[in-house]
Amino acid sequence: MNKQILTRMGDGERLWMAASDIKGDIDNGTADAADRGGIPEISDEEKEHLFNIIAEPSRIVGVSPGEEVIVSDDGCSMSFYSGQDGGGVGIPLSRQQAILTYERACGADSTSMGHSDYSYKPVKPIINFETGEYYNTSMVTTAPLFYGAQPNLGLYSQPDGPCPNPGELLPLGKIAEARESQEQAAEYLRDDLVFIGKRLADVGLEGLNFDTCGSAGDADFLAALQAVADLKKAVPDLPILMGASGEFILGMHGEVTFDGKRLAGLYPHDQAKVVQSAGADIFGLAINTSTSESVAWNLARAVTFLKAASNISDIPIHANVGMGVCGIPMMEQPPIDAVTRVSKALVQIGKADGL
Amino acid sequence: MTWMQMTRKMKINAAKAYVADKLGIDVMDLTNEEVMRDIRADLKIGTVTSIAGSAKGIRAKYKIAEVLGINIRSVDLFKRDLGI
Repeated sequence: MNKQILTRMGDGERLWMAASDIKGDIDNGTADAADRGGIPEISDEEKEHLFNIIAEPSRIVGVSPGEEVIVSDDGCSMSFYSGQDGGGVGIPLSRQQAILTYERACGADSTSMGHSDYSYKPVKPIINFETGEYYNTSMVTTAPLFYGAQPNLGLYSQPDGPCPNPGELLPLGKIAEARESQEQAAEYLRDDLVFIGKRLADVGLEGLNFDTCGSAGDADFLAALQAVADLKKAVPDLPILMGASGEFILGMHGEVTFDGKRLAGLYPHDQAKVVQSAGADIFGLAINTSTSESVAWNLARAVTFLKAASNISDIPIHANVGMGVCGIPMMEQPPIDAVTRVSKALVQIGKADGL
Repeated sequence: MTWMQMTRKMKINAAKAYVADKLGIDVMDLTNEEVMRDIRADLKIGTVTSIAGSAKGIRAKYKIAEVLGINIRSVDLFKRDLGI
């Protein structure tokens, strides 16, 4: 008899799937990751383990005692006071109250604060407000307190920023101009990241998070890597978490390099290497979720990429498990059955050091 | 464990072993509430439920840095300001 298993699609739709179909999706998912990344598939034993995690009948699943990992976040406490577009529940709390609630009521392993826009560029003109609030909050928190935001190179292009917009230049065939513009923007971004990092470091910053690096492509990722290296030189004891925006660095420029390595097209195991060589302390890995494939397919891909990166990296790797990442369905209220299965598989098979 | 990843780039199992050793307990007990509750109170590194007058915030972090033998940047600043 082909047992039916209650599971999800990548868009969160709940459905019954035959055990053989889930096993087939696991085979195809890991094969897809292996083919794209030039990395090994997970073993037959790991495929069976993944199937068993997905097929567990309980709504919520978990790792065994002793296997727990820590959780870092990208502005999670903002979800207490923000609205739907920030994944928030709209409670009227201050930033500091939200951080303390997250730390003490939710038992957070680490906490973070950031500007509501969650990009670094808007932080620069209000840096005194941010350093003041960071300092005040760090005096009352017990868990590690990061300051985090996205590099977000796109904000440096016209009309939001000073540089000609590569999105307009590229369709006109102005490749050299588009590249030049991205290089200029990356320099502005690097300067801002270093400026903000140093100012926060002056008030006892415990950890800095460059989150969603590469969202505007390889020049975006480059600026973050350079800023990590600059900050590690200027403030050697400053812990830095650098997280990626996706499984593949988009070659919007195509030719930028870091330490002689071309960034365009790097998959997570190679991203981990350059992040480590820049000097970051933790790498945040992100794998895209396909909404039209099952959680089994998506999760098989995620653990395959993660395992390859974990095996190669000397620094801890935190797998991103936000909406639509690393096998989590792409929806604003990720279902707990999928979230816990993804978390368990990323830890037990992908060997994540944190989530 | 998070402090050890941040300050020493330790992978999760190395971080657990380090912290467990510093606390003098088994790795399994790091997540054992029944064991950790007393350790947290005794070492003044912050308890989950709030006890009036007990360590939390920078006071708890001061002790965490001491117990783990690490530098926490906010604590270092605090100590510098107080001339400690």
